[in-house]
Formats: sequence, C-alpha cells, structure tokens
Amino acid sequence: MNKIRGKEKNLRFFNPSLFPKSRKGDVLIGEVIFLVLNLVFLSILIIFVISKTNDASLLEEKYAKQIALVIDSAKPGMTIHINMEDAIKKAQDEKQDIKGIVKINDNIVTLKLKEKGGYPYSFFNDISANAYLDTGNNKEYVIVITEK
Amino acid sequence: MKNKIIFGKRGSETTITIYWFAILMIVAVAIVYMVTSAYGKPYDVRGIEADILANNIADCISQGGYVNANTLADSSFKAKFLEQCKLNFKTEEGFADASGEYYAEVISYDFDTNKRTNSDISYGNLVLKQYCELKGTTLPVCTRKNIYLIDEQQNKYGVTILTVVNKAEKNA
Repeated sequence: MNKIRGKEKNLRFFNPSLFPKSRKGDVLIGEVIFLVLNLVFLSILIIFVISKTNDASLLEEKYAKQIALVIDSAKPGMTIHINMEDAIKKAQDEKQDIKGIVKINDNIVTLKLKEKGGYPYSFFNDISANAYLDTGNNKEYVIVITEK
Repeated sequence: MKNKIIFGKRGSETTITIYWFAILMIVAVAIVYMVTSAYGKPYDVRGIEADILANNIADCISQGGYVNANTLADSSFKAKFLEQCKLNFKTEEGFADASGEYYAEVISYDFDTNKRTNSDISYGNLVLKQYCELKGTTLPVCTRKNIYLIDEQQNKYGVTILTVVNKAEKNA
C-alpha cells in the first residue's frame, strides 16, 4: 500500500504535464477550447488595431494635408522634398503606381494609395506646383513651386 | 459524514469562465472605442491653415515693417486683393457651403489716434466671421494677427488681419 502510495506521489510530483492528468477527459478538452477561444479573440483584437493604425486612408489624409500646408507656405522658386517612405510602401503593397501617388491639379492636391482611394485637399496659394517621385531613392516626393 | 455535499468544480469553473469572457468583452469594447475615437477623427489643420493665410496676407501688404506700395494706400487694391496677394479661395468638391470656405479681412487704423482708415479689405464668405466668438470643433477656425506698419511718410498704422477657415467636413 505504501509503495503504491509512494508511486502515486512520485507520479504527481514529477508529472511534466502542465495540466494534471484528469480522469475526466472532457474537462481537459474544455480548458483547451477555452484557451483557443481566448487566443482567437485576442488575435482578432490585435488585427483590428493594426489595420486601423496602418490604414491607407489615414496616410492619404495625412500627406494630402501636409503637402497642401507646405505649398501654402511656399514661395515661387522653392523645391521641397517630402519623405513619404511609408506611403510609397503602402502604395506598393496595394499595387499602385508609385509615380502617380501625388497629383496636383490647379490648387488641389490628391493623394491616392489604393485602387478605390484618393484624398483631395485644396491650398490657397495661387502658384503652380508640380510633384514627382525622387527616383534616386524612391522614398521622397519632390514638389517644385513656380509662378503661375 | 458519509452524506457529504461535495461542491463540484465544474460548476464554479463555468461561472469563472463566464466572468472571464465578460471582462474580456469589456476590455475589447474599451480598446475598440479608444482606437476608433483616436483614428476615426480627421486631422484638424485649420488653425495652421488660418495662421499661414494671415502670414501670407501680412507678407503681401508689408515688408520689413513698411507698408508695401500699391497695397493699403492704393484704392484699387481692394478689387485685386486676391490676385495681388496670390490667393486662390477655390476648394475641392464635398463642402456644403457654396459661398466658400475662407474669409479674410484686413482692417487698418491710425496707430496714434486709433481712427480707422478707408483701407479696409474683406474677401470670402462673410458668414464665417460670426462664428469667431463661438467655440466648437465643427465651427470655423479664426486667427487674428495685429501688426505695426509705417508708410513712406513715416505715418504709423496698426493693422488687424482676420482669417477664417471652415472646411469642417474634412477637419472635424
């Protein structure tokens, strides 16, 4: 009896299993399902947060407004370099032509990073502005300001 | 002694599981709310835009503290204000107010006597001016700048530049 008890004791002490062996198999399955559900729930939450923070629409709005404000402050003869590495990378992920991300028509700047995207924002400075990709590094856009 | 009431673990574990998921749901709802409120609102750049507009107008009417020729002293300056100061108040589609999203006003007065001169200029959507005394995220944003100028005859002027930017649909 003592030997059996000792064996039982050893089994319990040295049992490498995280969950103690249960005679009832459905309780263990229940815990596994519980863990899996928790992981799925947390994964969905994390994916939601990442998708919201890295959304193309957010980058379109950010750079459209930034470029419009820069042009508003600029004077003819200026050449402005804007680092748009994250936006260019996003456009590449969305399979868009990175040379056509920034378009300036009349006094409206339009940023397009995805197929069904496009964020226009106007500037009040009555000058002529042209934007093109700096093909030297593919990370910056160059905006040239000239008289109208 | 034999008839012990044994409280089953399964019942209490189920209760804990329900509480656990309820807490998880509360935390998830809080995170979703925080993320949507932070990233759901657009960037509001109207304050900066109004400031830049006021600076551009100031640069147009003055240089180095002196009144620029053909500006405030010129009676035809009012008619060609936008052209001379290189301003374009046209905006993209999507704004409800067809009268425009900008308003600019320049009021000059004699610095010594505080009497207004006849060089007042205003351009844009006049309705926006009435919102300057009110506060609200969906209301137009106003900026006032006061500058001190001297003309060629060494007359001193105080100039108040008021600029208003609406564009609430894209900033609020």
